[in-house]
Amino acid sequence: MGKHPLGLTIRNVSKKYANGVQALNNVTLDIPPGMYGLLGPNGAGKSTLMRTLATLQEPDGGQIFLGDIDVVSQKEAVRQTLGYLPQEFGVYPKASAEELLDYFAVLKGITNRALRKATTEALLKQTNLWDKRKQKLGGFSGGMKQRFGVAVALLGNPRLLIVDEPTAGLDPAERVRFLNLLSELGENSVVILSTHIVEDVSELCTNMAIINRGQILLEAQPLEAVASLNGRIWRTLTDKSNLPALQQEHQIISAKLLSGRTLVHVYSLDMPGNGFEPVEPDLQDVYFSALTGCFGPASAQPIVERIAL
Amino acid sequence: MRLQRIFALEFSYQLRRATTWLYFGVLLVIAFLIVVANYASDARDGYFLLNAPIVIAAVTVICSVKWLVIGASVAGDAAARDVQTRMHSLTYTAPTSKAVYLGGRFLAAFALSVLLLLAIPLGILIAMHFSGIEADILGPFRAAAYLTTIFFILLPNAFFATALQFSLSALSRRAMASYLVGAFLFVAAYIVGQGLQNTGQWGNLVDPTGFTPVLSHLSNDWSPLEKSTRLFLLEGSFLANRLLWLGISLGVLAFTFFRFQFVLPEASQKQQPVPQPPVEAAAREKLSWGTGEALPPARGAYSWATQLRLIAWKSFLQLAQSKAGFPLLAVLALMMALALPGNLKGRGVPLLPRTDFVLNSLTSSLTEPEPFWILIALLTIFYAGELVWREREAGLSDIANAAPVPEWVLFLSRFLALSLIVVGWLAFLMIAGIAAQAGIGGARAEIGLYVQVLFGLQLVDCLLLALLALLAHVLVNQKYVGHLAALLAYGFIAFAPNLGIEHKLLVFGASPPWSYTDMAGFGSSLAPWLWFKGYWVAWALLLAVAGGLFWVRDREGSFASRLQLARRRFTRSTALVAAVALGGIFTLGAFVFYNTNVLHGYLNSSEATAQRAAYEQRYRRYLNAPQPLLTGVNLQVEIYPKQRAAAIKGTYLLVNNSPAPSTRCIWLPERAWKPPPSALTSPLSRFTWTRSMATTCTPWPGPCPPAIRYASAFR
Repeated sequence: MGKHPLGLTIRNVSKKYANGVQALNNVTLDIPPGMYGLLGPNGAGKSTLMRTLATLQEPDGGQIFLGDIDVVSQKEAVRQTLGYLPQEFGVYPKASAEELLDYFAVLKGITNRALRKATTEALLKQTNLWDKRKQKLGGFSGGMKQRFGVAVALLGNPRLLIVDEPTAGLDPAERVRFLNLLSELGENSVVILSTHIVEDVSELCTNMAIINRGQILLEAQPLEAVASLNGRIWRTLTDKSNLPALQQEHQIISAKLLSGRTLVHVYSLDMPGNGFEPVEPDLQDVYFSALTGCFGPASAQPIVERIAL
Repeated sequence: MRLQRIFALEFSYQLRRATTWLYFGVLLVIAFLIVVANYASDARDGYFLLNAPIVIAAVTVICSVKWLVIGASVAGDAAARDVQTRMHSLTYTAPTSKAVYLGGRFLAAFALSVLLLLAIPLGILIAMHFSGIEADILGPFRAAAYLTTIFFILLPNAFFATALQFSLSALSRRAMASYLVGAFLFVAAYIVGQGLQNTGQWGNLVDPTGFTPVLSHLSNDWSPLEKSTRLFLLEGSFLANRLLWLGISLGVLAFTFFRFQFVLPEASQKQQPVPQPPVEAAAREKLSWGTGEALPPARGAYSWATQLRLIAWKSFLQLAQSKAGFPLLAVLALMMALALPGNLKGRGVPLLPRTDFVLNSLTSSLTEPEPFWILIALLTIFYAGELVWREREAGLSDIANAAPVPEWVLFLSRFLALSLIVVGWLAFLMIAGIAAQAGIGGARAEIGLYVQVLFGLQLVDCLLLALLALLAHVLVNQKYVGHLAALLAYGFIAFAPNLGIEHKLLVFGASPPWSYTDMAGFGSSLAPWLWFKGYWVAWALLLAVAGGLFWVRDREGSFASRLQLARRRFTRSTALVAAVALGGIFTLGAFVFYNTNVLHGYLNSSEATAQRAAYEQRYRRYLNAPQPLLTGVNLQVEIYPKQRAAAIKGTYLLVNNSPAPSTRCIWLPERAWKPPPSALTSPLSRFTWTRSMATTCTPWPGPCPPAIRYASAFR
């Protein structure tokens, strides 16, 4: 046990909430050990999937396996090897970082006192909180709190680490430190990073999926996905007023304001026309292509037929 | 305009909540039950007309006192919801004045409170006119009786309580503060007011609800005619009371207005300065990019015993150190110590503070709670809610719930934490008792007896309630409704006989009382107590299993998904524990039932009343029959307390003064020895009565066989 890195297999998982929202629709994913990015806009179902993986929610149907552990029915076994950093969490404002981390260490099953002390000390140092360990958590800044959450998630050396939008409150230095920490852990664990920040995924993840409205739009390796878009993304600078006309003619995947003009990225198999120039695609283009339907579901291959229309 | 909008939003928001209507329904049912189950029988006995103004007032004040605790969340929520839902950063920065913001919220809370309290007259009306109460105990309908009650009692009560609850919640920014105020007003009305009843008008002034004056009018102040007809008006000390509390409420509201600030809660408190590292050092902080050493290899050892111990201890410390924890309990114990000299009285005569007297005064069974213990029960329910909800309220629950801790450890650790709080309370109580004994002087404190009674007997009652409160909070899964459910369960335990459920096997935690005297010790009272409590401990074990199965761990609250989860958690060892509990319930219950109902002919109160009625019907015709007089008794009685037996031998001298010789004699109880026929014929008869009685009175609950009841009739 623990010698072989375990993959996570998700099969046909669906979840519908009582208010009628279909949060997950027949989601099937294979997540190998290493860093895995789950990209999607807000409300796409990322957090629902994360909570389901973290044993906090029951799927309506489908199966999830971590190695040979059934995540849905063998919750206890999953929890023994799980690290979870939720998107939002609170702390006891009057407890100190050291005290609360120690409490969580107990919850995680590190009941040996000396071992617990060593573990919390190492984690506090690693997350740069060692100097603040006696300080009350109520006085922590957003980033410090986030780092504390990271320390909690790393307790017990989890083989399945689920981090839900972790970099949102971190300053640039903290973000890099945190991502480094994650990659290090990804060497022998499954690390699932849910985010809507494309750079987090492009810099770190060996595998990724894009999810929207409960459905997996794309499952790919970031580099391959970017490569497969080579020569298909074109850009032009235009006026805001021209945008509707452009939208009629081309597959616009993104449009952003750039010093008063609008920079438009268009998906096309060949040169869309005058005024367009080819762009070196990046992961952001992959993301927007998937969201706008230019990338086929769960495949890195563009749907040629549809574009040809 | 803005005030209206704030008012309207708050009012309609709370009006749409199920809890608001739940409180309404509960108050309505309580009012209905008090009329039907309590005052209707008094009215049938002819003490007053059932719809007399003072009876309506009495039902209203009793329900008002309960409302102080039940409906406290209304004011608390209106005052502190913004902070608790973290919406305050939006509302506080809006260009709204303090007066409009607080005013709108307060008026909405007040209107909601009035709405809730109107459930009381509604419940009374339904009980009087639609529950089949016979017309001859009702007077003519008088609107004035309802209107005076609403305007002199109900509206002022709503205003006073809401003002105080709202103010404290707004200033502390915690909705729970409202419950604390509710509990204190409850104490002021129910304990302090009643306690000061005999010291002039002080009791009437201190009581914020009018509970004390109304009930004293109903019990002894007013004549029967007044009780049936007189309106309860604003006069005398009651007027002073309303004015006093109006002044207090307005003062507190004004204080709140000046003290309240649109600032974040953290910023408004003075914080101890945390030593910061020198600025230059911080500015040149080394940016280390690497993660340095490898992650610690620590993996859990998963010793659930250690987890249980550590989680329980941490939860306990957090609760005990809070202001509503040990500090509050210590204050309560102090108050009990101060009240002790006044309570140590037998028929108005001060008693020597012997340990057994002190303990009798300090303890109270779950089923017949003393006022002070009602407060402890309320606190237990409050603590249970805090323990169950703390992690979710702090936002920690997602992390904590994903940790590898079995559900039963989570439940049991909360129970252990609550148990430690209870043990702490009993320790405070013991110190209070000993201190009071030392203060009064004249008796020695028996530490051993204190430990036996408080930590042996009283603790069991406290723990049973603690478990029930925890289970209510786990099952209900909505904090305020959980409080209410636990409160109703407790109310059922305390008032079950009034609701017609008398058998102690049916009321959670009930048992025959223990008794202790210096002479006989616990005597035979302990055995049935132990059997009953064993039976309830078995039940508690079953409830604890349910608590583990239904412990909430995920976000979903739907009943179906929780049931499904519980089924999945029902492992073999859980089944084993449940089976042991069920076995205990059946064997202990059967043994108790055999003793109460089979061996000792259990009678409930209506059966006992029927028996008394039959007795009267049977013998009343001999009421005026000529009787011989009992003129001399000479008894030799040997009592053997250990064997619960007595031997009685005696001589009775009967003188027949009637001209004719008696021909017949009836002795009661009929099974007892009858005088010889010769005794009936002579005008003067002397005969000897010998009887040895073994185990005449059973320690099990049930009818005590009539003491040697003696009556005779000659014809």
